[in-house]
Amino acid sequence: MTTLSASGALGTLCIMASLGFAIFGLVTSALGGARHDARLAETGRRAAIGVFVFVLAAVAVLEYALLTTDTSIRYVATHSAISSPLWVKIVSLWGALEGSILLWAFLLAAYTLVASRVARNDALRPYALATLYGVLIFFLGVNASIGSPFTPVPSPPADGLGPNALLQNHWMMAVHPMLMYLGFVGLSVPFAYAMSAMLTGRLGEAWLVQTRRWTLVAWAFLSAAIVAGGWWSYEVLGWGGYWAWDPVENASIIPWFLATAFLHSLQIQERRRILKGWNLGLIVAAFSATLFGTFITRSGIVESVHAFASGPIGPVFLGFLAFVLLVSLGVAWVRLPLIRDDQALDSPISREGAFLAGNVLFSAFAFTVVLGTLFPVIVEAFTGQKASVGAPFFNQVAVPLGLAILVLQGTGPALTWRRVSGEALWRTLRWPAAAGVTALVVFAVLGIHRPAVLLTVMCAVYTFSVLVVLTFRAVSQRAASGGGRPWAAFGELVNLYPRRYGAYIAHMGVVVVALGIAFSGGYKQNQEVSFRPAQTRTVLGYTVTYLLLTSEHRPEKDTVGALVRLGGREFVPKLNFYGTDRQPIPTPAIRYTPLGDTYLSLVSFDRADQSIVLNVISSPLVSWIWLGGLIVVLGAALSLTPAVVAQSARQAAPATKELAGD
Amino acid sequence: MNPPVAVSARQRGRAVPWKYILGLGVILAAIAYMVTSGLTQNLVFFLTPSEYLRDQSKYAGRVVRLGGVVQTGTVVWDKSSVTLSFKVSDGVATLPVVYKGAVPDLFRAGSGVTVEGKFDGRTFMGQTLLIKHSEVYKAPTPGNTEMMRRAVQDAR
Repeated sequence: MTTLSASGALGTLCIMASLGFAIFGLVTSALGGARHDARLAETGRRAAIGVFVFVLAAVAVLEYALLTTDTSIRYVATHSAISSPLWVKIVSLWGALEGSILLWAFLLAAYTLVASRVARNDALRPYALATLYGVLIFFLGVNASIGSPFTPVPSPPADGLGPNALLQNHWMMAVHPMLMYLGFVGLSVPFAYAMSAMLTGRLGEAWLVQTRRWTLVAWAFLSAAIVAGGWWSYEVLGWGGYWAWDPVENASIIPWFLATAFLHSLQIQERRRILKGWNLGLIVAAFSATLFGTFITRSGIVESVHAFASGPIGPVFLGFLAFVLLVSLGVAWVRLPLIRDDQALDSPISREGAFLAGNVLFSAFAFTVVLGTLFPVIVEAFTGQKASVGAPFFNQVAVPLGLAILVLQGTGPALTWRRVSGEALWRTLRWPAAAGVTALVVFAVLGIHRPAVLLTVMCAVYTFSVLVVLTFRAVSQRAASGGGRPWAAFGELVNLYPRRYGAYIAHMGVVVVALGIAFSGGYKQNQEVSFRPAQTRTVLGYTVTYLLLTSEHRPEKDTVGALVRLGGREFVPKLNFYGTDRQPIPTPAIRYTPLGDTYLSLVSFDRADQSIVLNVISSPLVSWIWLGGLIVVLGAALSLTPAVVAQSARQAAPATKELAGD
Repeated sequence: MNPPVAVSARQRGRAVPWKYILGLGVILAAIAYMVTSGLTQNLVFFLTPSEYLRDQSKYAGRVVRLGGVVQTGTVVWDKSSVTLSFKVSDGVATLPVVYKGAVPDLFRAGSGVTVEGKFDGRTFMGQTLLIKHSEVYKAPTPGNTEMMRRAVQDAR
């Protein structure tokens, strides 16, 4: 029986309408900008509402189809099932390729709508919106053609095949992809402004000032997404790690490196009016990296544990990536005379010098990850031999680069703009440097002998001390001049300079993350052991008792668990079997403690004699990574808050923008 | 295009900042060295047993991925020491594999397998067991070279 899919047709119609509005918006915005026609540009601005409303409707149609398991739509028939829990049905929107592109288009439309409402009414706006419409046309175009989530099924099956097992195994899957897309898509707005600055030739600081918050928001989402992804991997994959330099992970870290570099170098241009070309290049590269990431994870050119199925989407993304790069380079070429800087760096030992050095490191890091990810493809193209680049390569490069970045992010805040006297710098840095070296010696005496870990401890203590010294000094100066209490002075400082103290907090968060990575990476231990029921064994110094096997049946899955006693508490590491998939998805049991986790993962079990194989992993300080990630995001949030200037201070210093712009 | 600006920028006649270029060059050279040496050391080749036998010295002491089909009747699982041993074949050559760790659920005689590890002479000491599972799985029948070839291909 062949039926017409009503919801499929409705969804396609919504996508088409949205695409129509995007094309209309592009044409009117671009013409409005080119002819300096304010009315036309205003029409173009309002098109964002149409794009958003119809793509929202398309999302609603797909969600409704998922919730009611409307199998007349192929996407639902292949990626959902009646028995799935409610939350899994909702998140199935981004559980597979076509839906994830629809989500991308939806978020981009939302960002475009917000940008069209809040952006300053200046010469940059029409072209920035036109660029956003251009990107929207690509994503909506994919959704309307080869990547349609609304393709009908000629004869709908009674039930869908069900979602990917990994997707439904942990609630984090509802959070992590959403954060990732919010971060990825958020980079479109600063990219659009960069394009607009190049197209209009207004290459001053205006575009940067307008997009600093957008970049920071996208960066914060991206940071949160990467940490959340690591934690998801830790909670679900059963190997006790969180980062394997898998191509999909690399795809997320490359834009993060570039966006981090951009966040710092844009301040150099804001303050010193140099690096125009570098900033344009960075944001174009960061945006392109989001497309590159989507390309490598959707094209099947690199092997990955969690790549989407390959299809015609990959080449289309590659084409769009090439298009973006060509257009950006072309426009930049035309504007080259305007991009040149009028001034030079005064001294390398300055805030901008440190930012610049950090930029070099972050860009080199990004390039290294791109190279390592693509190297197997290159090798195969030239030698015909299948190969992969192992995690040891990435770790080998990441350790020195990471340590250098750690030192820089402690030193940078201690430097002033333009130039610093050597004496003043020494006065600020001598105690932190001494504290760092002392920490290294103490930890070496305590029995930490891995050089990378020791150096991380040193750099972390150094950075931490610099930030404490700087804060302490500012607080005591303010308390002395204002006669207030230190705590009140600290509060005033944070209100006055949220950007500065937000950055301090974010840098502290990075220190915490770095310690977590160093110790969990350097001192992780694991042992796989077999147990008979009621057997007690000593594993890695822990007394572990396996009691018995449990099992549970639910409509969507069967679960086998092992009841294990560790340190007086009971844990149940589990294996979940979803549908017809024979590959079990583990749910490890983790004893979280501030100084280190004990991780129990059920590897296999024997129903006949009830014996099990348990992987016991001890991982020191691993929780610090999640905590540090949270601190980083909180720091970014503080940086986003506007400076609050007290009544008396406002009279004394009318240039509040100047004050806040630290 | 705005020629007057271009001229004014050039007229300032800034000195070429050799100091910075040199510094940058040193940093980039160090990173480039790290990357190239790291890549050549850590490239993990995918091999079939016959590819290994053809060029044994090249892969001595290196981490490689050995792929093929688990030969029926060769799987020995020692529960007490959590050691799995089996033979991997690509239809032409066959090599023994020793792997310390539990047997994944999808591991079966006759199925495609990829093991990451190092060679100790002719024995492959596996560190990680990767199993590629296709949606529609059929064990290759012995003697059916086409099926065998495809299973090896799938294991890659």
